[in-house]
Amino acid sequence: MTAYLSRTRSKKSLIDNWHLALYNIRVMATEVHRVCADVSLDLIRSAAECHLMADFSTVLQTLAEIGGAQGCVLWDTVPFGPDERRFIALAEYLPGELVVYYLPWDSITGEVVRSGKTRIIDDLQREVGLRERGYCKPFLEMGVTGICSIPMTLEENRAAAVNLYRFDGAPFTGDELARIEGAAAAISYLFNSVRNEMGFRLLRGVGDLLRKRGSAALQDSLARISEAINAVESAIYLEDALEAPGVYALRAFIWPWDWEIEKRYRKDEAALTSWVIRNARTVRLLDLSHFEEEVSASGYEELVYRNKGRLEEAVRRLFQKDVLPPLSFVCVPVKHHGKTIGAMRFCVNKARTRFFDDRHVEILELVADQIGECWGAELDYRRGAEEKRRFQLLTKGADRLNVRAFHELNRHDGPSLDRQLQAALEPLAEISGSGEALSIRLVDSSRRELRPGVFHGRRWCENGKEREFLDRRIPLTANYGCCESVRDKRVVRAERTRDTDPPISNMFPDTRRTLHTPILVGDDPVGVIDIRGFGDQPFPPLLDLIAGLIASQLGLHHHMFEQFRNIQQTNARLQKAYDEQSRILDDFHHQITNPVVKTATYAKKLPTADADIINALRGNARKAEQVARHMQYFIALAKDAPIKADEQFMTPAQLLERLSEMANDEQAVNDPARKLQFFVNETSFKALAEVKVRGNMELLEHAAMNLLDNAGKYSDLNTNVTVRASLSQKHFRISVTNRGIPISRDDRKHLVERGVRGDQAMSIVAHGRGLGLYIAEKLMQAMGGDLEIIPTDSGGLNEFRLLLRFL
Amino acid sequence: MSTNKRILLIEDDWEHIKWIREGIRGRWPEAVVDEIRTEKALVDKFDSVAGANYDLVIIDQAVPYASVEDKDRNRARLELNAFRAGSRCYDRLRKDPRTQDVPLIFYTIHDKIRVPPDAVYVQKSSTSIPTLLDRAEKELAAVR
Repeated sequence: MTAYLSRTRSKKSLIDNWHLALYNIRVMATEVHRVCADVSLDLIRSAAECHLMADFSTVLQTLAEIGGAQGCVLWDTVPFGPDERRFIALAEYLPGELVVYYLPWDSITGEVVRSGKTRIIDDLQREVGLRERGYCKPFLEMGVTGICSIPMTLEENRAAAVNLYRFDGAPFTGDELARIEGAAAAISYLFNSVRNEMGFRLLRGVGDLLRKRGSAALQDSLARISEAINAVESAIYLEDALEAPGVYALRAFIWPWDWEIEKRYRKDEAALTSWVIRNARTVRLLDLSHFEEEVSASGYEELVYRNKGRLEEAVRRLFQKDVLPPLSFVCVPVKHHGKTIGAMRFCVNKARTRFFDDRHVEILELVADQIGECWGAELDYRRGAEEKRRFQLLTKGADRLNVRAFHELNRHDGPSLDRQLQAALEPLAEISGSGEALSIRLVDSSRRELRPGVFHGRRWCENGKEREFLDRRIPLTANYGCCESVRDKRVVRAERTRDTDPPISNMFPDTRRTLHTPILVGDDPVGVIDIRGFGDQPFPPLLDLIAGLIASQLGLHHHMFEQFRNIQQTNARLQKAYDEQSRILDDFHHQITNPVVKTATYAKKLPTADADIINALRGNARKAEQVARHMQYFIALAKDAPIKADEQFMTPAQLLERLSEMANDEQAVNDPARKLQFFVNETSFKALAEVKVRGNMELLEHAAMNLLDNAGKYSDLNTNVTVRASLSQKHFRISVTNRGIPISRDDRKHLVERGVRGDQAMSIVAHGRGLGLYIAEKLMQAMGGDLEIIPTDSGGLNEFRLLLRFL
Repeated sequence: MSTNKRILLIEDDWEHIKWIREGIRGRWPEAVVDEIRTEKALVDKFDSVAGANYDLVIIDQAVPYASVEDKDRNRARLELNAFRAGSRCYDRLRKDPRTQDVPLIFYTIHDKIRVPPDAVYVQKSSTSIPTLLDRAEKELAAVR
């Protein structure tokens, strides 16, 4: 049978060969019959009815009855541990409780084993030299009167003895002795038979239970095993490689003690269970009360057990005995595909057999393999289901992200990369499982920094430091995982570290693992995905590839959005240019049509015209001419065409004449109700009579008209607009001064820009597109001169100067 | 039209105001003509405008937001297009139950496309004053 067990390490074949096991029992019975042909078949029948080791007492009871005794104990030599020369009660049948669990080597039983001869003691009370021995005292107290001790050999040549006890004072007769010896010869075979029966039944029963799967199946299996081997305490610890690798959590237990059972172990802990997992090796101890002696003798290096005293007390209370039974212990590793994935342990036998021998261990190892296979299959199933779920999440997430990108592109306010990044973190969080804090930071290429982006995950909310994160910028040169990922354009994965990314790791000191994935557009990194894991659960397999796929999508979306924004900006520029041109044309239309209409209106009054009407007619005609030229210069400037300026020499007298005409014309077109007065300071021009001014009269006239027109529009009521001439070292200056909308130092820079009008100017005059000063400056520059705008002085006077070269 | 009708002129150009007034005086000598020269003035005085029971409003499309003498001109609504100021005045008058039935005529240099599609429109020209007055008479008659 041992050979069979060894051969059939494959649990499946072992379970499937149940019929072979039954065949073995029949073979065993035949062998027993051959060895002791005269023994009653009752002994064999009683053995055949045993299903549990506890049932073996019925075999011993039958043996006792055969020998006319009232009790029977099977004593085995201790096969391991510090004292190989002791006997332990392997199984018993007694009318009362067994109170002696060990017999010394120099006991009567020891003499029988050593001599190989049966010994009978008919009157223990009168046996000289025996009754004084300590081990006999409990037997005498039990009422034992006679002993018949027969030597025998258990498997692996372990010396043993079966002792029959009488309590009635009757001596053993010769016939009885012959029957006892004949029957006792079969005990070894019957014991093995019952144990193997128990083993096969256990394997099959556990196999059936485990088919149900789940924690209930494990608990039921453990109960079944504990019942079969009479364990008081039992537990199964298994690693869930998907949820918490490296943690061997309690999956099933029977725990009669009043202190808390350990919920989980790790390999590196100083504990019996951890030792078994770490060394992938079974630990079996005969008696935890002799822990130190056994460990030193059995070669279990660095084995530690801390609960001895507590367990002894608890067992005393449980069994309500002064004499402690052996605190037997066995812990076997649970394996799957050669890898230790947990441990199954049993402690303290509440009945026979009193300890776990080699065969027990073999059976338990086989059961452990069954459990390992079952647990592994469940993990494989879950892993497969989880991978399928993740694959579905990935495909759905990627699909949703693409659809989202499409919707972003169609939004009226344009696509938002931040919204898209935020959306990408949701499927990543679902897929990554333990990734409870995810974020994306973007590359600020101009500053060589990672700038804040978006974040997602339960831990961010719990932490409440989003603002701190959002405000933080990280230089790309920093030796952090996120920066390294961007610099090297690769995924950076770190396990069990807090140092890869201090800015965030400091916020989440319990970070266990990080995954940084760069977001690339072509070969240029534009951002980095930061996935942060906590707790024992690892990142799922292939997360780096999954994050890479999402990052690749985001890179594509980033590029699309950028292109889209460029197109939008181009469109906006075109639209702005169109709007500007449209307004300019509207304005030109208004400005040119209005004086034309007025001119025509006045013209109809010519037959009865007075001087005011003639002046208004001339002023409006000039206005129309001015607007027409304005349009001409604007178009030329818009095309970057040079403004032709044939240089002339102009005298101040000529300038005075022209400017006076213009002032009169401007006076004529202005609302008389505003009471503006346009003056030309003649003295200032006449004082410079000798000067020859270089320029072009036509361009100068247009520039000056622009200044007078502005003064007419923006001057305060009842004020003067004055034109005067002056000379500086370099220039002949024609100044137009007025009081009106003030001009600051900042304003003067902008007023000569195309299309810029002062805020107040825009509010008080509907027409005008900010071209007058722009064109005036260009005209002056075309003549080698310039336009100078003097900020409003403390007296509220504005001054615009036309600068011209002179001789 | 009775001689005491009240007409509101929303117009910024003094010459056009002068000619329109001359035209109205020629046709309805007793008519009272008020003028508003800016969009802000209409907004500020709207309650009094609404309570004045005008019989007709003549609106120019391009009027400034504020006047040069307005001390509060710094609050200019720069985002507003001055070339649509008349349309905004038109909307305001049309939306208020007190003025929604007052006849309105756009009188502007701009093309018709620049004024609200349902508005009565007369384009300014050297001969347009009689046309404006004819149209005003028609609108006033329709109200009667």
